[in-house]
Amino acid sequence: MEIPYYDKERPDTGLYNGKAGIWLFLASEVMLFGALFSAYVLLRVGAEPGTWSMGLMNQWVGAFNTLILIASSATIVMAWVCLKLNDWKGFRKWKWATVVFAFIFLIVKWSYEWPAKFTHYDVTFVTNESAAKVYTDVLGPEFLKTQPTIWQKRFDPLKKDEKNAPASQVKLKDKPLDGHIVGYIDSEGAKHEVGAAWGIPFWSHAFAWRHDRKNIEKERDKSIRYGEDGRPVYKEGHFRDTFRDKDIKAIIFVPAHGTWDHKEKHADSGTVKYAEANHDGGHAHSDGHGYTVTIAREDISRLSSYEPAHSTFFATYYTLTGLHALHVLGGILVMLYHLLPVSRRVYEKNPVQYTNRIEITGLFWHFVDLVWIFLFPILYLL
Amino acid sequence: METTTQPEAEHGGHHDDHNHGHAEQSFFTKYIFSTDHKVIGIQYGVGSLFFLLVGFILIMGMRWQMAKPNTPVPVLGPILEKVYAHEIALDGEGKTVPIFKDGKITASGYNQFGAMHGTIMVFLAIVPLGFAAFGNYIVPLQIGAPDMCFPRVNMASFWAFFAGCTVMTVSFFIPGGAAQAGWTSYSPLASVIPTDGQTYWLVGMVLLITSSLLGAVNFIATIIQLRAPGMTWFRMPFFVWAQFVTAFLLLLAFPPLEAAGVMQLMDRVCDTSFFLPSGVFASGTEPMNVSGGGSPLLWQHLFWFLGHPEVYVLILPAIGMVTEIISNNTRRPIWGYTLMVGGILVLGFLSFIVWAHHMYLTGMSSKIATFFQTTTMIISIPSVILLTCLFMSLWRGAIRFNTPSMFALAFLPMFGIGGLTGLPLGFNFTDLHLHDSYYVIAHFHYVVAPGTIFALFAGIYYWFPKMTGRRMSEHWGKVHFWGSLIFMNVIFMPMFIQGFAGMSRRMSDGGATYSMINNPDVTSGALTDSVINMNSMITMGAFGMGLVQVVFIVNFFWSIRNGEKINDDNPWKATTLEWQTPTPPPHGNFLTEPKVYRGPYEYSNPDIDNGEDFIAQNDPYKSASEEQKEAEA
Repeated sequence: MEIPYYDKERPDTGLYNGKAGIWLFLASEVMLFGALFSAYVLLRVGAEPGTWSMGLMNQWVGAFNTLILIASSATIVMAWVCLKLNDWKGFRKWKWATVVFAFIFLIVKWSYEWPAKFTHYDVTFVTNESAAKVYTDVLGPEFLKTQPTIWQKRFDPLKKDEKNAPASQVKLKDKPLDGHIVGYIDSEGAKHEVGAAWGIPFWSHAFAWRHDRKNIEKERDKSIRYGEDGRPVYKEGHFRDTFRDKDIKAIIFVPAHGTWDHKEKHADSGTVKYAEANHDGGHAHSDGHGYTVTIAREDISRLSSYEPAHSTFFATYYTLTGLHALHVLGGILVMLYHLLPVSRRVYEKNPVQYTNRIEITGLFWHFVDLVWIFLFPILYLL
Repeated sequence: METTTQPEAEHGGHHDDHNHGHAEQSFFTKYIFSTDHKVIGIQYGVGSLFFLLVGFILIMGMRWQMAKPNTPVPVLGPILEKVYAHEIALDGEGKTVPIFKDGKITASGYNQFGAMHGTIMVFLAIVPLGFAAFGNYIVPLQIGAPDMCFPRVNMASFWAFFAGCTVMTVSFFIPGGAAQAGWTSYSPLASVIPTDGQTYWLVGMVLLITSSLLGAVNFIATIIQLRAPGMTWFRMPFFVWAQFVTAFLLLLAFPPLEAAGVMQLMDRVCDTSFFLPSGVFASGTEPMNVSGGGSPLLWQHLFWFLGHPEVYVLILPAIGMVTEIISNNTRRPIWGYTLMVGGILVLGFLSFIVWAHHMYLTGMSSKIATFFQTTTMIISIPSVILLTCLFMSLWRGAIRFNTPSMFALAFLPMFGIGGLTGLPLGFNFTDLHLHDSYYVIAHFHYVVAPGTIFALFAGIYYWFPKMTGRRMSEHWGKVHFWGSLIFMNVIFMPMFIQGFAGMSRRMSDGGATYSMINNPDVTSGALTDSVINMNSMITMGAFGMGLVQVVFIVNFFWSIRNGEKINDDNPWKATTLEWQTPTPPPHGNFLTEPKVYRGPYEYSNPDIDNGEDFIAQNDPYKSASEEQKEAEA
């Protein structure tokens, strides 16, 4: 049995089956990403003023990846053109180039961008006083007198009443200090260093640590609780909390360069390599004191790395880029399949059919590229 | 007729020997991992009928609980206790509480049954049966195609469905049990429930949605690409049109729910706050420690963006089947075929812009409510057009009252009741009173239970001979029909009254909490005895309904081997192409590629003098007037 219009076009529709299929599939993909983009718009528009995190992405890395994907869209067209011209060698060359570009994109995402975020922390404080103490330590005493415009670029807009308020009225405790955890002090006063995992500087052992004061105060247990009537009691005891699971009295924290370097304090723990913020330049060795700041456990109201649970922005960021990365991975698998010997045999048997497959893959790949072209501005630039 | 009976003789023993002619296929590739659209259709059919039964058993447990709160469930009770014996959860002090105690359904058990009844019925039973099973089997045959456009994608679609069903089923047996936040899974509740059932539900849904998407792509591509020569768009049977529109609804409406499902999964697994606003209280006095900033309304918008087209996914294939059966059994062309096609296309489009009529009570602005109220009223127009055309088709027809036609005829008033009672829910101001009451339950069950399910039964009785070469018993079919019709109405009619009386749809004790007996001081607003007592009547109706379905199940399986053999490939004397094949159709369907000469409903055409009251679509017969015209040209 043979399916009609398997490899040739149906006269009245002008399509072969595969092309009709891929366009329909892409229509549903548009709805999938469209729903997520709509969710992004709705959540962002509905966010309380001063709660939407911004400016935390490394735009240059993002731009690099954008270029890579656009280039791969070009190479995949070249591969198809070569096949149309019966140039098998040229086809393989361009196809491999596409695969390599796709891999570069994923490697940047998976082993640099995401892990760097998972080891980059925000700390907020219990009281304005404890916050002031830490900020003075980091930025010097004169900091408190100046307008804290430092947060303007992170939260847009700042709460209205804070925008033009004198520095003394800004609720310092809610303003996050960002940086890296390089060590901690346990209840017996012993110091523990938290170094880079596997020697990769941006991949720290302090990976996605999490603490929320509301959580630890209750010391809720991890089990599911049920009331007398058999209904579950909805507690959040199953939430992860590093301070509950680890014996931590205080954390040793290195404020990130990018945010805080206007005070010319280059943070470095000296001996321990620590997680890099994406803003970081090099880690110049310097004279020893003032690079790290020790923050006591009871001063911290919330400690969160830039993981999905950090904020709605990061939740959106990981969901969108994660789903997109899955599409990239899918594309890579299909393209690798097309480079296997079994596909060569398909080509020899029916070159038209094989060329059609490459065309369909290309259409999908352009879509993946297009999604990223939308993702880059909304997540990195806006 | 010549073309089909001739090769029948060549093949010999068609009806009994299933293995003829395709020796190259092993049992495994032929029946389990088959790429044949008919086998896949039957796989879908068997799977979805099984889940139809599962969903029904769940609701029987719930109905028992409502009629007789806090009494052990007969038959099901001991089984529940055994199955959920390990379902013992620790509370804060290490105390253990079983979810099902002494064979009684507790509140959270009731919630599980309710959530899974809805999920199973919609996503695992009716959509796969109406769209995937019948669509797979019938659509390629009706358009004269040898198979679906992408046979292997078709198989992948079924196995994704199978995986989704497995996850859903397994979720009953994990600690804490299945999902319990309702089939709509509203956040924040669904995001914060600590048991894993909801997570399983989400994973299951992602698999089911994947299956639907693959199926939808395949259906549309097949209908666009594989129509036989001469099968122009307006020669397609209406069932194909219905499937075409349904496939578009699935293709475009399901992905937003997939997106929402992924976000809720993130909420549950990665502790994000897509659907959790700042300062949300799950219980106790402390707000939950999540980052907040999410929107519970977002879930509802995304869910109902699927949810409303989904209603039409449930009903459109049913209308398609009913159209085929009514035309065949009245021996008349469908009245207003082009009007119906136009109607169904408009209906499909409009179904994307009515979703927020499910959300009048969420406090959205009255301007938005006005918009959705208006579109909801507009969408009733094409629905009424479809129904009216079907009623008009009966006029002056010589109706054959066999089982499929009786189910199809009963569909019309039942669906009519379901549709008309929807109008008060579509209006903002009346919906405020009726929302979440039993009125809503009655309304949509009239649409899908005596509506869609009757059409599905009609379809099963109608196409059974094509699939097996035997008829189902007419006598027991009629018993099944009358029993179902009576009990359906016994079950759902009183729910309108309960709804008007203000009975909430989400009470595990059947409203006893708000009864006058339990609240003697309350003078108005409490539920009277007569309203509460309707629960017993409904429950009896439900059990009667179950009993009648046993007749169907026995008839179904008995007839596969012992039913009356059909002597003709076209036992109903139908015009459409699926009847112009051998019975059952072989792999590849048609022995020669069919060529289509005329529309799908050429019944009782006085111009055609071929000794029958119908003429098949692929019959090259030319009437005298046609020949005359050609000669003139």
